[in-house]
Amino acid sequence: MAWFKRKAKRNEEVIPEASANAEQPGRPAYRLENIQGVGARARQEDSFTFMNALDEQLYRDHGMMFAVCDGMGGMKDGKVASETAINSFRRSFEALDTDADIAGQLRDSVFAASAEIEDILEGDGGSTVVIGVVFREQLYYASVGDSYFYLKRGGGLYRLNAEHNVCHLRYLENIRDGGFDIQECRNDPEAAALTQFLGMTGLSQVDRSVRPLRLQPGDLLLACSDGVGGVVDERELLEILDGSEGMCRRIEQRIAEHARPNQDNYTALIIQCL
Amino acid sequence: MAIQECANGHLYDTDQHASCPYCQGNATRINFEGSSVGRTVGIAPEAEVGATMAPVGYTRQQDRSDTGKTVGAFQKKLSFEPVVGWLVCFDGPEKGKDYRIYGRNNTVGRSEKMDICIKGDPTISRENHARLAYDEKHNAFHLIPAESTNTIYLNEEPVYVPTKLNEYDVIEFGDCKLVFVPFCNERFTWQTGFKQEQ
Repeated sequence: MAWFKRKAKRNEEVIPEASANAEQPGRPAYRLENIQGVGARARQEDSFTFMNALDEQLYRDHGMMFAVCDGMGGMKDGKVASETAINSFRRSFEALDTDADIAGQLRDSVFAASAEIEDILEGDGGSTVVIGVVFREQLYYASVGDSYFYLKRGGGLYRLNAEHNVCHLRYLENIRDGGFDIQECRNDPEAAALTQFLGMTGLSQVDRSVRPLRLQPGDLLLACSDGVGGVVDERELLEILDGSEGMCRRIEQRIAEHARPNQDNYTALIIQCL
Repeated sequence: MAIQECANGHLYDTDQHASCPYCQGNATRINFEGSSVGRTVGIAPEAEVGATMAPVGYTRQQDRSDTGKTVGAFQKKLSFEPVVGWLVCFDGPEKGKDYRIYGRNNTVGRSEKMDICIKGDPTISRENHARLAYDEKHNAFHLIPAESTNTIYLNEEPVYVPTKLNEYDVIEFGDCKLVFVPFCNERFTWQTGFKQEQ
């Protein structure tokens, strides 16, 4: 979608370039956090994973992977969908050839996960995903659906992915028609409905990095489901993501403070570059 | 704090948990107002408010037997039009794979933006290598060369102009050889269903 492309390009221009010292060998190391809760729901339908998270040798040799999947309620088993996706991504990452085109393999792994879910749920259920692979301090990522992926660099918080939902579709239509009324788009009764998800028949859009993003010390990545991103706004996140320990716990606290009566499942992963 | 990674890739503090709290589903539970405990759930439970959902118009492709009716612009975007035929790769890098042809102009290329996405063949143009058009009125298929730099062959003959396709024609895109298998033909169309035997 041309608009997403343009948006991605703009992001690149806005995000300050990594400085030269990021190329020092052996830097940066990572510190990782995760949190998950069911909120006010009966079941937990989010799934997440890290790979090579704590083994320094493994992530130096093969890279590190993280993923958040938000299974879709209201259709067939959301947990089955998100678990299937996570397991598929874990297998794909194990088979990743770091000497070849990583971005391409990541894209293929998204379609593979989607096909697996489609096989099991026959198109009647699915999951979102935000997946990132960090290899030699370069970040590759992909997303489908309405989960959130942020980069905090310097004093700024940057959204790295676009949502695949009706609200975004309305944005697009609005812009094309010459106007841009954000509120009108958000008020669409279907605004939150997904237009793309893993497991859907005919998945056609994957939001992803074509070229890797070079990470630098101090960078913070936050991958989360909409139970986090749709509740805790950017300003609050910027405040919480201060690089000190327990950021995930503070995100959970903030969700509790919001006390939404229908609080969705929430999952957040933080990757902090030291 | 002693951070441990469980077999499923979850991180947890072994000082606080004996085993992974995320695998067991016994992570800290915060009580939210209006919790779903005790909520009446019917046989077909309604979607929970704010749950991650597919759009209202979303139906599985297999379920759409009543097509041929006007399809909303939104569903068109989702390409839930009925399948009208297939391409099957029998030789080349994607040997064994099939590609769905929908009832419209289908773009062919390596990019996932294409309707028919042949990813594994670098000799195929990224976008608009060719088009495969289904003509609803005449129930016919045409192969239309587009922006490919490599020549497209149909039954070993080069194709430079839109050419009508017949059942089991062999199309060559790059290094891929594909068989054209129509689903809509003289025996079946989505508008009329199966043709009665006379």
